Amino acid sequence: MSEEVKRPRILVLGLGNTVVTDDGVGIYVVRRLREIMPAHPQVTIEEAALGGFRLLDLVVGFDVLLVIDCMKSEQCPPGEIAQLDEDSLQWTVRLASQHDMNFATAMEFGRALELHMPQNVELYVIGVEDIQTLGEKCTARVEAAIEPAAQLLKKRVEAYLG
Amino acid sequence: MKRISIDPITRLEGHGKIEIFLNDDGSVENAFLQIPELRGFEKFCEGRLAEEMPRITPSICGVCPEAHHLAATKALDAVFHVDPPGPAKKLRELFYAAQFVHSHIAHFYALAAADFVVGPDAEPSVRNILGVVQKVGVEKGAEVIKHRSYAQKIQAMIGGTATRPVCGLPGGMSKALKEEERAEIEQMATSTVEFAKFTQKLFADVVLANQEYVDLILSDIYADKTYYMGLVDENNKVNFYDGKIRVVGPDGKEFVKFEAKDYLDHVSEHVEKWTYLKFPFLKNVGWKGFVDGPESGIYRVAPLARLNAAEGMATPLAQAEYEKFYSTLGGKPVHATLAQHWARVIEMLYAAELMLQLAKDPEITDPNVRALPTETPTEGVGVVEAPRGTLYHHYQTDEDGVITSANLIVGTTNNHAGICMSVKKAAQGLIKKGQLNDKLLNMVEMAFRAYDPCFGCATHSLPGQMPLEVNIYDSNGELQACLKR
Repeated sequence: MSEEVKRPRILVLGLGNTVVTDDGVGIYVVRRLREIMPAHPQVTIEEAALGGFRLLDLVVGFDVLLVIDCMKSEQCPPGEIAQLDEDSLQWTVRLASQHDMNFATAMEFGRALELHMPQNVELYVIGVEDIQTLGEKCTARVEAAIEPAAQLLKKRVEAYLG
Repeated sequence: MKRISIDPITRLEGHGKIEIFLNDDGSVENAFLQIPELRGFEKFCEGRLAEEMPRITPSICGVCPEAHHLAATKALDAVFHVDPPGPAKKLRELFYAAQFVHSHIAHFYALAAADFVVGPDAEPSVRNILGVVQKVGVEKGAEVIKHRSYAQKIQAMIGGTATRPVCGLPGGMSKALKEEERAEIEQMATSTVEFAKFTQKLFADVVLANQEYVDLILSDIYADKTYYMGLVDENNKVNFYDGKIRVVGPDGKEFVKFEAKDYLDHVSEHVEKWTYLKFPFLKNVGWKGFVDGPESGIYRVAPLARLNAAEGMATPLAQAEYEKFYSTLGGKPVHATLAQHWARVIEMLYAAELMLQLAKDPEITDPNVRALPTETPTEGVGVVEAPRGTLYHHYQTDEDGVITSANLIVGTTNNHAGICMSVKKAAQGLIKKGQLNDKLLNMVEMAFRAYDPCFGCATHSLPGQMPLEVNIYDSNGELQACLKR
């Protein structure tokens, strides 16, 4: 077996919506990541404005999943980059009343079906200011977080590649 | 690096709310549905090149971007006065049939099945897709994922990406289908037809064989006698991609059939001060409030409405199920809101059969997939049936093709009045003497969920999951209970 085959398959997933001001920050981060990181056969960089089931369709088959999304919370001021605790995902394991299922349920569903699900999941968020106004550019503090977040993801990918 | 734990609802601002007002007896006086809205999407579109619309409009919805992409593309055909070649239309239809398979599998297995396979009064912790898998088995669960993936792959092959289609252009499609792709799609479609047949059987075995569930579906608290709207082909059969818009009355008889471009002659929008989201209604019947019956212009869309508005399905297996649907539920039209779930699985079968039929069509790999627009752009309306109902895109441009005006009416908006009415009726039928519990709440929500509402684009809001809150007020307007999901 070649050395390359032993390396994990890594998916870097930027989530968000680029027409709603800061909501697109996850997408902008992975676009920047593509610019600063050379293409690698083990690494897939994807952007999506999806949730639940549709995320499951994307993550099956990967060993490592790095997600970058945005968050509106007093715990995470605009422009701050944070890593969500595993327990935060557990919080949301339930069927909500709205369409589809949430991310944690989708992951658990995949595991219940014994699909090849990522063993290592890291969920990063950037605190946002405005996710209610239509616009194709982030606010200043959030914009400033794009480069450091892309650099952070690059380091995490490199750490997994060894 | 900060590590934090979050409350599940903090990613989004605001809640979807069902507000229930009780009278002195503790019975339901009124119920309202409120959704936080992001306004101004149409304004956001103005000043952009019309060709951008199939790229931008899917951004308002993370659930069915494909529907917006196609409605926008069809609107551009009209704006640029260009008729796509036959193979392009077939390719669009194949792409779109895959979208229906993808979407309907998700709704049925991830949401609806939990209420029926696990049970409407089961604990919320098990009333979800994980509980469904425990009941039906891991092997069947894997089939769900496999066929969702097939549908996703077909959309990616034709649409260009798995998550955001880029295939539609005014006058056709960006690329033709290769023979090896067609052969793979045929294989996947063959398997999907079998899976859709299995789903019909599962529905029959679990739901229809249980008289309690059939009684629940047919119960008065879940019935609203409205008009129904849906696209139909030249034989009045259900069509997701093209045709005329047919409306039938609460008696099931044709009320009107019209071309997409004439929608404003037939549809108007009512405004209520307690919500930004409008309430479309039939202009030629009139707005009479949140009441059903032939005098009220409220109409409904989506799977049940499509079946009611048509005279059948265009594929044989789905047609057989269509006939069984009406013979079981007491003839046409069916007003039972919970019958949406059955209608949805029948549509899943139709979409799967259609995929197979189109994959075998010799024209599907024809490279002639584009007619170049040569005329000055003006105005156009594009209509498709989104999984959640009739979707209208209407654009006006200047002579350079820059958008001067845009209007979108999405499936869930078309259903807005119907959803409000259904929620109120269910609440009135279920909540007595102020008595509340989780089972009753779930049964009120079932009226809401049957529509598979997707307020992501109805409100032009953010994709993803929105929590729902149910507030119950006593006769003095004091908050008596607040139940969060």
